[in-house]
Amino acid sequence: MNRTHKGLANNMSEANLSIKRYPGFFAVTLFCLFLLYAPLLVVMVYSFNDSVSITRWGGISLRWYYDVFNGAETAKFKTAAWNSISIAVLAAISSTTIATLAALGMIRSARWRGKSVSFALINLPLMVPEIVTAVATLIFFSAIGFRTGYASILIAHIVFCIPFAYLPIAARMQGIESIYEQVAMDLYATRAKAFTKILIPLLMPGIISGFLLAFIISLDDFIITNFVKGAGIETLPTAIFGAVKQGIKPNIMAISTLMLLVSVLLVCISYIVGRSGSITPKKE
Amino acid sequence: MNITDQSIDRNANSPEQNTLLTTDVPVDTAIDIQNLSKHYTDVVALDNISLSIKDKEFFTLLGPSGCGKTTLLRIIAGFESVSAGKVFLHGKSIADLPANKRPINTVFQQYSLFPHMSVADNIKFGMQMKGSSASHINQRCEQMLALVQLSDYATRKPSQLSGGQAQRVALARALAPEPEVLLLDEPLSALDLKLRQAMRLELKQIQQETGITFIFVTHDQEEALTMSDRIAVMSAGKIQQIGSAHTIYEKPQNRFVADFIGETNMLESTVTQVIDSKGSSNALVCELTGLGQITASSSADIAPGTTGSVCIRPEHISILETAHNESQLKGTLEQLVYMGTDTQATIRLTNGASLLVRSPNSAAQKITAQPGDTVGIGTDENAARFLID
Repeated sequence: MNRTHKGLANNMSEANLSIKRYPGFFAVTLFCLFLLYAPLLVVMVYSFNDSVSITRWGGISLRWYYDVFNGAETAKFKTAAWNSISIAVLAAISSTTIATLAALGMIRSARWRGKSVSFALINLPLMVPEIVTAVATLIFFSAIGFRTGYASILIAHIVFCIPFAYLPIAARMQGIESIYEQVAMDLYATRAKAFTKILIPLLMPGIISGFLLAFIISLDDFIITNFVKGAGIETLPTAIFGAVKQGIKPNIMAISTLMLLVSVLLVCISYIVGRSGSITPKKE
Repeated sequence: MNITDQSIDRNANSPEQNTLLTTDVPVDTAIDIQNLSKHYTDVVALDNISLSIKDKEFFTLLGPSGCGKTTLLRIIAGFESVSAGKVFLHGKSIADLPANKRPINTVFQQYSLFPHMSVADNIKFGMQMKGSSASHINQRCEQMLALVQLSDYATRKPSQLSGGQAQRVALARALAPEPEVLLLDEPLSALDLKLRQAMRLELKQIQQETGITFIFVTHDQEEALTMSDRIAVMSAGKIQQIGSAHTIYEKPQNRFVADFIGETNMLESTVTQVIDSKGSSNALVCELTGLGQITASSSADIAPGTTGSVCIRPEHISILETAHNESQLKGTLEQLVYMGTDTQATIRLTNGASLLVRSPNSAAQKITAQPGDTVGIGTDENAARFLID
């Protein structure tokens, strides 16, 4: 608390204007949190249900988790999960690489014609409705006669993951003064060495953060995947959707809970890594 | 003896030391710059500069911000291209060599130690990039750490160092690959005053121990005067004067130099007579407008009738009791300010101009006149300098 008179006055007016003092603030907050998380909570709780019904509670058990790994649909989900994970890893690696190079061009370069337009173009996919991208991608693939399947999913994923990977990498690169690369080159490093020995290590938290974000986005994408996958191949989200169409079985809730766990874990890692590693040296 | 005089005497020794250093070694030119210009789209950063820097010299580029000194340094380092002119390093043209191929290293203003590397790895970086052998690198790293007195800090990260320590690591890192020339871009400006003063002496000592040519950029005249063998005073993309600290201070070539280095009095005057003309040192009689005559020196050939200013340093002026003086210069003592080692007096001259005087507070030279008194003004021999406007 600031104890000076002026500070006190400022604090008081700030406190008065604070949204916390609006009537019903606490109730609205609770209501919003409830809307956001209640469905997830229900799915998580019912994934431990010992009943065949998805609405009637029959006691706690892990039978549906067992069913996921040893049930009738295990083979189908296993293939779908493998597809999802391998696509997510490849898409994340490719899009992170492309995003790093894009950030290099956008941030470590003098002004060039079309720089601000390029900036908008890199980030625009974030704002285009996904269904539009999905339809456009499908039309594009069929127009050039590209056979839909694993490769078409992978290409589409690489493309839409780029802006997600770009954001944390660009933010990080902006915070790294170009003087470090200059120092490296003053000390006999080639441009390539300055990049690999200095910029990449300093950029690493941003790269990891971008990679994990791209991985998650790819892992749980449904709309675009569903459009471009073609027949005979499923990723985890499309497989779940297919299973749900024939009626929701509690094993879906177990799979969903597992996916949620992976997502939350990766987002947390991304957040922690993104914040760690202060790069500004202490000054006296 | 006056404090300022002592500091001048010490500086006056520097060129002699330099001569001693270079008598047994043939005098060699480390950096030679010929007709160098640098233009940005609509700004001229450097305007036809020529200068040569001797081997093993502590050379300072001194000037206000925006005078082009940092641009010149960056051109020598290889970070900026030249618009016109040539740069030679030990006789070889380096204008087309990229920064990483020049045996020149830089100590940057903000140190810019690699934050993800330990102190030792920072120091080793340049040698590794150069491809030195591992045993040489380790040995040299230890040697450098000892030189900057940080042997116990090898494994620390830059974030665990104080400003002064980071500064020393930056110096060690730049010296480790044994550059032919070391560039220092205002390396002391981020330190506090006490540390800065200590580092000046340390830098000078390290330069003499290593025998590497130092090119030091600063806007701080005190830094320049205390460390340099020679100083180039720069302004508006041009070199105003090159010389030892003593020459720059005592024999400024133009108004800018006289004004920028130290305090000075400028009095309007006209040359009435040339007493002695010997090329670089001419003795003149000058008529101070509305005051009287004074003898002054000048480094340029000047014809009678030329108008300009006579510059006199405040410490070369003495206040004389009116009772027994025949001096032609007179004025009224306006203000006395006690400043510890000396007293600063402001005198209103009979022509209305104001004159600053600095007098040491020793028993012999203490000012006895009081504000309001009419006083006579004496100047030291050869203290007055005529400068063309």
